[in-house]
Amino acid sequence: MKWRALRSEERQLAWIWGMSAVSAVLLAPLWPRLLPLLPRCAFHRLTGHPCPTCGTTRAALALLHGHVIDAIAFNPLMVLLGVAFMAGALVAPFWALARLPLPVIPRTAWRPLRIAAIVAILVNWAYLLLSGR
Amino acid sequence: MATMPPPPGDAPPPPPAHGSVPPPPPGGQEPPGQHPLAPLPWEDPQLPFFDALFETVKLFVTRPEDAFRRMAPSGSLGRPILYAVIVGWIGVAVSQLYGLAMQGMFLGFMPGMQSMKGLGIPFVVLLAIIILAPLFLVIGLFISSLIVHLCLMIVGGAERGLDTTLRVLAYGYTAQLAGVVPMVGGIVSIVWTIVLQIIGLAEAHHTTRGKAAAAVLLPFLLCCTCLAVALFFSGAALVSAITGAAHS
Repeated sequence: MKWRALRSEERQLAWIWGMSAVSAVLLAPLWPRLLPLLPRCAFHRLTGHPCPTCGTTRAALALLHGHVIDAIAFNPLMVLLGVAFMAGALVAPFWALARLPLPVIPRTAWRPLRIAAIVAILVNWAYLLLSGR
Repeated sequence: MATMPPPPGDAPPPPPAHGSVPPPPPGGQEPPGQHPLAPLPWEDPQLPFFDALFETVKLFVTRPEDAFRRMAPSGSLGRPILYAVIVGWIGVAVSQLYGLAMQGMFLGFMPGMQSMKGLGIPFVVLLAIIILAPLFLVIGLFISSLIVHLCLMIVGGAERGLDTTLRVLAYGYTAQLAGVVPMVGGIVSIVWTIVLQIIGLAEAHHTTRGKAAAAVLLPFLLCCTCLAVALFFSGAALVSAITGAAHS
């Protein structure tokens, strides 16, 4: 695998990433208050079925209270993305500080990754539809 | 100090170089192709702060395609983020003040609605929103950039990095200024933001407008909740949160 040096704007992004995650955690006490105020899913209201990201807010709240299994049950893909976001926020600033190189993903790998992303969204949606969440 | 553009018909202009090319004539129509690489006024360190801000806003309002073409696709993120915070903050602050004024007018004209007075936003809360808005604007910008860039990767239009997407979305915050228009400002701002993002992503990532539109609209098509989570970090959600806390 090829590696390349971090650009200065990527180091800035790393810090913004860390700051965003820290702010989100600091605002955690406000999250439960927001739940009833967030707009209801229009897709669910119109069709009676969950959209591909239905359950994200409930999963985030469950994670916040340490109920990992419940969170995964609400929306597995969004939990995965949320965990990736928080893990990235922990790693990125240190990565930038240490000026570690970034792996270069070859263009040939993009197509399978894209297909994997679409399949993940569809499988996750199928789970939500079947579980009736 | 800013240098003046060469008069038409004179000697050929000097070769364009980032940061040293003169800005477009204020309010004037720039002949197509004359300064293809002239930097965005906001990204030209030689221009005075407010002149650069005003000229950049004007450019994004009148000629967004040209503006995004002139935007540097890479470089320090400080200036684009500062731009987003300034124009976004103006939009948030003015729309909040409008809300307060409209609330007062509404209650004044309809005495029967006095019982709803407690549902309004207290002035202290409004002040807190206006003060905290820059933080939420930056967080919202980063998270929305992540979502849009991920969608751009899915549709195969991400020819550049996340930083380029963030720059496009930062300049797309120009649409937040529509918030100064009473009543319809919010909806105008949303539609305008989408249009600016599509134009900007297509130009900056050298991709098609179709792919750019797909990337911008994919979160809307995929979900409502995802959008709601992004909105969590916006000033609007902050309003609701603090108001909810104040009434409990």
